[in-house]
Amino acid sequence: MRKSISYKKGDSFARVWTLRLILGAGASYALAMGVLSLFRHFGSEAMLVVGFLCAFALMPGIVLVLFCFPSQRAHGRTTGRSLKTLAIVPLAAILSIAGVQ
Amino acid sequence: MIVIAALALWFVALSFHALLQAKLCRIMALPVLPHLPLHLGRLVLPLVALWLCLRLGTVPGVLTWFGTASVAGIIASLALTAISLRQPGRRNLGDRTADAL
Amino acid sequence: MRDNLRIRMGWLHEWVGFVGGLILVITFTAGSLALFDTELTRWMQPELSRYTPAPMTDQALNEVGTLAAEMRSEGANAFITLPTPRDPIIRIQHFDGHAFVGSAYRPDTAFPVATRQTGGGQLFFDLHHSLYYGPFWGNMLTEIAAIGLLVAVGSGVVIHFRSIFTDLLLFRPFASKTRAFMDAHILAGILFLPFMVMMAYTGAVIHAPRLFPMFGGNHHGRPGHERPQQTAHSQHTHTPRTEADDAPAAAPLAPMFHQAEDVFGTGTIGLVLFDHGKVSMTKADSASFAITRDHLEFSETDGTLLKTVRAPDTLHRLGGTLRGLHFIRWAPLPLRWLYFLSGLVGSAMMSGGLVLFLMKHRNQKAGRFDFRLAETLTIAVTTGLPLACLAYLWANRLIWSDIQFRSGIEVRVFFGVWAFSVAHAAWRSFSGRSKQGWNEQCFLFAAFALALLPLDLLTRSMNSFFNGLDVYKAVDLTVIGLGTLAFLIHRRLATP
Repeated sequence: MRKSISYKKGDSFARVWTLRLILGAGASYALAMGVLSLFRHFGSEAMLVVGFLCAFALMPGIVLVLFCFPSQRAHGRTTGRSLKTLAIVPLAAILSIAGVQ
Repeated sequence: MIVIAALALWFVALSFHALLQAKLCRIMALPVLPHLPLHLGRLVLPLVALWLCLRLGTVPGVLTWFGTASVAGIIASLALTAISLRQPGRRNLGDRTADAL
Repeated sequence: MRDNLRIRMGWLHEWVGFVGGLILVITFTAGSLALFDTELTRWMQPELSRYTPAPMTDQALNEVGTLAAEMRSEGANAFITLPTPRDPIIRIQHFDGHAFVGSAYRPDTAFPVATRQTGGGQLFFDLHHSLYYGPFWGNMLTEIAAIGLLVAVGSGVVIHFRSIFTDLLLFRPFASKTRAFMDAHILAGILFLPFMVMMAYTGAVIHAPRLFPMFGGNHHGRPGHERPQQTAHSQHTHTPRTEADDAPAAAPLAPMFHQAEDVFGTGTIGLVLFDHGKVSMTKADSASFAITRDHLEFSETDGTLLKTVRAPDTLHRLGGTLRGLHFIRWAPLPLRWLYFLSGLVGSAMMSGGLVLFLMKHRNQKAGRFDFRLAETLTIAVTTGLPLACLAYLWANRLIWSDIQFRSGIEVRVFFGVWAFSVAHAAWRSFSGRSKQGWNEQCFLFAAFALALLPLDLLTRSMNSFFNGLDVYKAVDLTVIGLGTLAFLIHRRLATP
């Protein structure tokens, strides 16, 4: 069956996904910093290597997991909900960094 | 010599794997062969290759095993493609791009 | 367009893959060449073709130590590399910002071997880890690209999950162009997935402090060439000369060398470093799997042992293990070739992905500026970069061997030819004849690659030509192989 392509819909998906990618990259970076802070605080400088190993597994993983969520169930609602969920992640990371300093 | 032997073992094992795939045999018009020796070969030959590679040492052996698997896969694919081009029953599928791209 | 997992992952794979791929093709191509940086440096010093390896003598080491001390008293931050199987000569070198350059000496007599100044294979090393853009921004770009590669691999696996094993060896080169490229991209991607994930992951962790500068105070930026922090700092700044710097080494190096060999093993010492009155006899990177730079520190004045520095535990060795996996300086030749082939296939796989991206968008966006730009950049990294690498080798043999700053001129030729290829690609792309652009660059590469062997024979001593396979013939034959491949691609492109 030939799939029909709606370019307007495709463009709107692309916009949503681009935003998701940018925010996801930022969130994964913030979370990675949180993880590294925890490793440095509870471990030592030498433990940072293990922290980096975790961070570089976490960062692409977060982006991939974010793209597992559908973009639109009801018009815009899920997108908004996803963005709010996304905002919690860097907040958690910043709090954990502040907590271990 | 070990590297060449590992390459040869992986070449045969991966070729056996390809010959076990009904879809591949159909598309490339490859002969249908008895499955039991193919299954056995696919299982045993990589283990023999691993045993050979480990004679180089643990780390170099594992790296060599993976490396020879990759290179042998390319050689096996090219060989099977060359064989399929000579088969009279080969079919050329039309322009079907991957669903997701 | 529907919104399902495969479509979303497809979009992610396509866009992260394209943007990241433009950098990663450079990284993988340069990295593959950097595996043989020592061999390429020897090829680019054809004066060494007359040199027969000899075992190092104590007297030669002591004399070279005296020479290095004299250079250091004149302000050069010199260090000594000892002979190894890959480079059986003693060198006194210093870092010029991008590469280690210096002079070569016979290990039996310390007689200088008049080699031409060249950065050699280190250009590719620098291009690989920092895009020749400096240890901060360049490393950061490659770090981000490495994460992009991991994202692209993950999304690719999700897209292709149902047929990863069933279509493992499927390749239809004579189906439609899109199908053929897709099959080739998937085939190479799956078969070399362990290698690419390992290299991206280890490479990213090695330079992790560049992406997280708040967590990496001791990071020196140059992989595999880390020094004790004091020496790394003095590499890039002009350290005020002290009395210790002015005085040449009083103690001969040979006893220190033998004492270090007693501790670490015969044939393991590869570097002699100098730092504020101390001499470090340092383990070679090729001496063990984990690159730890274990060393013995001696007093420069009287040769007494000051301390033994070893990675204290498994955790400290972990970083060295990651470097060992990534740089494989310890590896025998067959494994090095496997890495080389894997790197080239990875580069080809990503180039195929870039072409697929262009194929997908050509119908709707061919006339747009951004599409033409994307096409120009794709041509620049897939054919322009190999052309520039070849031009670098040609420049090495054509530029006079004894002119000043010749290593800088070689690098300028590399970037000049690359810039020319970008301009040519832009001209062809924006005039709607991109296929001709690919074709012409492939043909140029093929022509100059096939002519490299005669160039090599004409520009060096041929007295050992029939004495078996050496570094020079290996480089020539490899380039001929790549040139033949480029010629076949040119023939296919030229066929209407």
